[in-house]
Order: sequence, then structure tokens, then C-alpha cells
Amino acid sequence: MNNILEIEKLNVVYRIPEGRRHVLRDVSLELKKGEIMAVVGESGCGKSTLVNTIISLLPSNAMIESGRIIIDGKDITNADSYELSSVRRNRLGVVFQDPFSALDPLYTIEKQFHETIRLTEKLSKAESHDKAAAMLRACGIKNAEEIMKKYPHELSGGLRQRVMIAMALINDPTLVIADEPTTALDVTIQKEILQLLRTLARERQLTVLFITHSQDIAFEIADRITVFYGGRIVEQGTRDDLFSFPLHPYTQALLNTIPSIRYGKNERKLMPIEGEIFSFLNETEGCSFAPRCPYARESCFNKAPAVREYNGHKCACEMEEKW
Amino acid sequence: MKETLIEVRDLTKTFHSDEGTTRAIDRISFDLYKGETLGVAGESGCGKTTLGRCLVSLESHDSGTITSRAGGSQIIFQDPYNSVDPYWTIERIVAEGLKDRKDAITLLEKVGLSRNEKDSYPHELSGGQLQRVGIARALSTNPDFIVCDEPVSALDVSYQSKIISLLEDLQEEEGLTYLFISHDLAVVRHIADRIMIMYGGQIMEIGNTDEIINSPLHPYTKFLLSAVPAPFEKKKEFQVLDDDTVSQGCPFAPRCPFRTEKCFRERCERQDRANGHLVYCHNI
Repeated sequence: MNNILEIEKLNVVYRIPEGRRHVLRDVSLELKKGEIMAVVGESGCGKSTLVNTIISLLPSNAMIESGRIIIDGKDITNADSYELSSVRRNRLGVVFQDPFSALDPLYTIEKQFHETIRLTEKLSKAESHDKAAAMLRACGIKNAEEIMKKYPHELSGGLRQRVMIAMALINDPTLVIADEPTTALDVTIQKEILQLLRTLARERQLTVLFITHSQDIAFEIADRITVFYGGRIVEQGTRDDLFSFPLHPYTQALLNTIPSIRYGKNERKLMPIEGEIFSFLNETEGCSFAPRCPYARESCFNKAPAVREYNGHKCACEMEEKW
Repeated sequence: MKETLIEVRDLTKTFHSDEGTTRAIDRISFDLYKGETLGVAGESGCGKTTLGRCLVSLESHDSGTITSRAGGSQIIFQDPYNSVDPYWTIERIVAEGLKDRKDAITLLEKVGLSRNEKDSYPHELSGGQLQRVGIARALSTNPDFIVCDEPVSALDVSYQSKIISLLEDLQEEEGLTYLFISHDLAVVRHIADRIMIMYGGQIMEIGNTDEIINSPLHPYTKFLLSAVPAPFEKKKEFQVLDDDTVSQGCPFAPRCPFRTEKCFRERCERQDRANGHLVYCHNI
């Protein structure tokens, strides 16, 4: 038993005036200890819902219809608030996209650390101060003592994100969820943050679920990659598998639609994916990508695609002859 | 012989606030040729957006000259939702700059929207569709020159390529000249004929796209390129220093590993290389 995160056939629905809409459908994934898994997808594909389901922050009109979420051997699907807070306290660390709105603007960094540390350990102020300073240093902040006296607005975006990562790691979690942690940052800072996460994951045997909309970032940081579209996992595999042998038409299309630093003006024509991005308002029983898929057949629209697996490389597509 | 459309000389723009003055653009000079796409890349705060706004007179400059032979200038903004009036229909937004309201439909069709969308309101459209409206609005005054200020950064990846392709097609049809501002070097690489790299309000390097990407000369360009995610590529690592001394000369001097004392004191002179490749650095 070395899976840190296990999600089994998870279905999440939203109740809206028009009825019930599936936002996650039959999502299954597992993360081994020390592994970095990237979840890639466009807006509305369900990646944020996945995060919110794992940390139980779903809005009140959403509910888990079926399936299980197991974090470090503990089933949290139907956990009560007491059990949940224990899991969040001891096993989970979350790095949010926007560190400025995730940190409290009215408290100094030190105070916010102190509050977090006190949840799990009875430490004196001085002890918690030292613990926080050590963690900030591990996250590449040299003048940790100085930073701890400051308020969030006094820090630059990159520094705030480092503080956020340090805070997520302070209680020694087994699973870290990073939800688009570099989207608001410049490329040069983004690179530093990605390197930091990789180093920390290696040194501390951290398991990281990394949510991103950028394939390039996913390929840069992850051991394995899961591609989401329309609330379903369309493809999952190691980064080499997905880069060299993308199987699902959506993954293939994505690779051809994004400008790359490798190709100049006349070297490559971008191949836009036709049609509009999937919307949950018009969900169907069939494959979410079928309306935009160049290979779609009639059966694709009526029946959910079966997941096929070859040596751990999974793909949900009915187009068998393409395999 | 390339025809110069816009000539910028010693352009300077400062902003004043309680904390003092900030030089957003610091005496920069460059030429923009007719029909080309000049990509402007750099990190936040490097002055690239201010430069774009100065070129279309949305911002007045303090000193220097902008000599334009363009018949008209327009701008496409980063966030399509914040750059239109939410109470106006799509048709009205596009028709505002037109003599004849009927031409709005032609423009909308030109940017890939259908007649059905003309009575919609901005919130009813997706980001990609609304950015098309922004492009149609820019085209409505029949400009020669368009500043594209991060036009795809706020869009989903599957819309990004459509907008980029649309901009490329329009350029071909109308002979437009673009100043394409983006922090994403992959996008700039794809669309631009030439790239200008900015840092701290100054130009670091400017040249043909392939040359800037494949054989950058300026240390800052090298640093920026080393940070672009490019999976499965052998990348040259480039370490910079962490120093916050204020420099009177080159703005990159505090972080530059090759700096000398001169870099802090004196502004770098322009160095001309082959093919119009210009670089501003004391140590090359």
C-alpha cells in the first residue's frame, strides 16, 4: 500500500436550475509516494472541481454522486468535518494559484505560520518562529527572518508564492496539491518555482498533484500526466508516453495547437481545434470531445468511451484502429 | 529596401506616484517597418505595455519623438471582457467607429463571427469569440498599424491558436503592421518577424526572430530564453545574480553575471551587428 492518493470512479454533479450536470465523470487516478502528477486541461474541463473535491471545498450545490477518494489510506469521501479537518491538517498541503488572495492581508507572515503550526504541534512562539524560518530557507528565501516580519502586500509575487509553498509544507503533509501555482508569475520566476517544487519533492519524498493548463509546464515538472476534457480523463501516462505517443485525438490536437519556442513564423502552421470548448450545460452520454473530434463516428456521441490501457498508458477513445 | 512606418526616437515616459518617479520607458529608439510584426517581449514591469500605449497615443510621452506614416493606429487589449462595455451589443461595439452601421456585419464575418452574434452582449460570448470582437473593433477604423497587447494571454489554449491564425490572415489580407506585445516567448517566436527584448524600460536587444532565439547576444535575452519551458530539449542553464543595487547604466547590471563597474555607471551604446541585429551591452 504505497498509494498516497487514490480516486476511484469519482462522479461529481452540480445542481443548477436546468437540472443535474456531471462535472466529473468516472475519474480514477492514483499517485504513488514521491510522484509528481500533472493534470492538464482547458478551463471548464473539471480540473479545479477535482481539486475542490479532494480538499472538500465544493460549493453547496455540488455533491459527490459516487466514487471514493482515499488520501494516505484514509477514505474521506463521507468523512465528517472533524475527520476532514484532521486530514487537512496532517496530510494535505495546498498551494493556490493566487498567493495574494490565499494569504491573510492583515497578519504578518510569521503570525500566519504560527497559526498553521499550532494546529498540529504545541510549540512556543520562539520554537514555531524557528521552524517557520527553517522552512522558508528550505524554500529558497535567504532573508527569512526579515520576510517573516512583513505583510503579504510587501512581498513580490514570486516571494509570496514561495511563502505559500513553505506554508503548505510546514506541517509535513504527505500530499501536496498545487493548483496552477505559476500562472500569475513571469517565466523567469515560474522556472524558479518549478525547480523548487521538483527539488522539494525529491528531497522530502513529497507526492504532488500539479494542476496546470499548460502542457509545456506539465512536461517540465511531472513524472506522469493526466489530460482532462469535459470532466473526463481522456488520457493518462508517463510524460515520455504522452509526448512521444499521444493517443487521444484531443491530446494530439493540443500538441499541434500551441506555439512552441522551437518553431518560427514560417516553420509550422498552427492547427486550431475546431468548435467551441465543452460546456457542461450541453453534456451528453457520449465522449465529451466527439463534437470537435475529426475522427468521431456516430457511436462516439451515444456511448461513453471505454478506457484502454497499455503498460500504464491509458486512453479513453473508441477509435480502436488508431491504436 | 524596407519602408519605415513608424520611427521612435529617444522615447521616454515617467510615472509619478507617492513613492517617487518610475521611468517606465527610458530613451528608447527603434524603427517599425511596413507590413512586419515586431514582437516585444520582457517580464512584467519592463515597459512593454506602456510602449504600446504610447504608440497609439493612449498615453502621452514625456520626451522623444514618434514619427508615424501610418494611416491609422489601433490597439487590441489583453482582457476582452474588460475592454468592452458590458451594456452594449456586439454590433454597437464594432459599429462605434464606423460611418455605416451595416458594415459591422461584414467586419464580424471577417473575423469569423456569424450574423447571429451581432445582438449578443459581451457576457454571452466566450473569451475567444469576444477577442474576435476586439479585433473587429480595431479593424473598424481601417488602420495600417495595430498594437496587439497580449491578445492571447487571457485565452484558453484551443482559442489561442485560432486568434493567432486570424491575426496572421488579416495581416496578409490588409497589409497590416503589428507591434505584438507578449510575455510568452513561444507565441512571439511563432508570430513575429523581429523581436525586441526589453528590461527596465530599455531595449536590450532587437533583431530577426530566428537570430534572437537561436543566437542571442545579450545576457538578459539568454536568461529569459533559458526560463522558457521547452520539454525534452537540451537547454543552456543561465544563472543570474541576486543583487538589488540601483544601476544608473544598464538596468540588468544588478543581476548580470558579466557585469563590470562600467555597467552601473554608463548607459550601453548601441552595437550594430549583421542583418539589423542590435544589442545594448558593454561586454559583447
